[in-house]
Amino acid sequence: MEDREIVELYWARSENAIAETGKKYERYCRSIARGLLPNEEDCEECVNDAYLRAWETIPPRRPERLSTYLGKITRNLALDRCRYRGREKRGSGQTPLVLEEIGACVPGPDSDEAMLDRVALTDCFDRFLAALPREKRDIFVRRYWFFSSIQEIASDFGLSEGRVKMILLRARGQLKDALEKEGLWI
Amino acid sequence: MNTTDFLSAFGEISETYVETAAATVGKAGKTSPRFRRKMTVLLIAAAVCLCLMGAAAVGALYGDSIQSWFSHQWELVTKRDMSQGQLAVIDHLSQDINISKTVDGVTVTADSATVGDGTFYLLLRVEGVKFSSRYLYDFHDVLMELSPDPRDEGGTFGGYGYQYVGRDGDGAALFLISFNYAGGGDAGKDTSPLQVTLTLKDLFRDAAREKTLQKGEWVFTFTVDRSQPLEAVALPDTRVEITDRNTHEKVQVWLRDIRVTSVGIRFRLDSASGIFTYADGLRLILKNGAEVSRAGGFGTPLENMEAIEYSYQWQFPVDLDEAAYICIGTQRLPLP
Repeated sequence: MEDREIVELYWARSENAIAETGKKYERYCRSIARGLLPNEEDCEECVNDAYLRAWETIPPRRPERLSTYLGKITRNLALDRCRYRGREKRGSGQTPLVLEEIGACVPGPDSDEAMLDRVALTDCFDRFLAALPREKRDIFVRRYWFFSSIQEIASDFGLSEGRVKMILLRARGQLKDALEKEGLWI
Repeated sequence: MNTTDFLSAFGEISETYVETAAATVGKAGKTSPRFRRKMTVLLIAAAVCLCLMGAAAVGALYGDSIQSWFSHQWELVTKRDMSQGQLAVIDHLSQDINISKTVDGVTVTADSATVGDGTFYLLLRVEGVKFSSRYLYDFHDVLMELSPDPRDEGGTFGGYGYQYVGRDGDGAALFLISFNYAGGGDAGKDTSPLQVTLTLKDLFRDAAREKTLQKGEWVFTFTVDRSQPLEAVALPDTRVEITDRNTHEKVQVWLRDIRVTSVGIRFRLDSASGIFTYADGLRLILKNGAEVSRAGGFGTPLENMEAIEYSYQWQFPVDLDEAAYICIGTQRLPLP
């Protein structure tokens, strides 16, 4: 079913909307959740919550790209769950690898300018990505937006895992530099 | 800010990047291993120039100045030679730098710059290595320091990007660096010379197996003149429909203080609390119907958070006498 038709089902308050969303996007949403939530039960709950969130927000929203909309909801829910798990199991060494990797790029603690920083941060991300060659950009987005594993990325790009790790390491260094230059890394 | 908040902010990146990366999911299963690498190289080749300046084939041969690079871009987009007016605009904004540094036989020349409102482009030539159209080339690090740094102005944000753009007629590799900034206050009004210190580290060939071609540092110090007067056209405040960054829905917003120049456009976008928007579909339409898209730029939230100051650059400088209107969202803004 076309995305437009699925969105119409949401607007018509038809429960088929969720069934059709599941048919088309369950794998996609699950792959995003799995990157942060190794526990299958958590993953499943996260994906179901994403459908529910879509149900609650469409209408009034009418997303143009349903895949990205669902992906973003799933991603945020997985991060929320991860935040909760982090608090619950602080110090247990169960932080997902992807969070550990990106940790070195994270600016300082919240300040009065936190909201301003977030907007500026997103613009800085866009500029940083624009300056990366296409393949490196895709690899970076696969890792930190889709939370794809190093193995999946290496396989999809026909590269060794070592090479993917090296590309990500360099790109994280460039991102940190960009954040520092723009005064966003405090 | 903690790591999850940081990654949550990363979730707001441009959808274009998300979609192109999404297209790579499972692509290994769709092609045979033998062809996969080759296709990836072709994809990179197709994307590199699109990323910074629009369509141009990597490995294509350009002339040896920044004017020739922009001429090439003009011809690609408009399918015709540059007019005298267009030539005059690019010449007016361009300046020679012509400083070379050599490390073990590899010479990098900071060739020329094109300077505009809140932006400048710098062309680098690299000689002393046999460059091939089969590969992309890169430096492991490119560091540019500016004095005075426009980003030191309160509320001003800026950044630079660089890209390998192909080879010139002598087989030298060409790199283009672009720097732009935007902000409230006087950020765009300072026309004093910019002292630039540019450091390039380790030239390498980017392919399936990365290969360092020359280790070392090439350090340049030069001045960019920003005093060239720039023709600017002010447009009336306009209400337009664009996409909300958070909800992806269409929203109506006011664009104010619109200022169009031959290198780009600036405007302020009123933003209801908590709503931030893409200036989507922004492009300049020429009288002959050709479209000049935006190459780079960004928005800076102003102090009260009720407006965002945007500054975007065109793919190349344009003679405004040849421009018909600006498109943003579904709206057309005619140029006088």
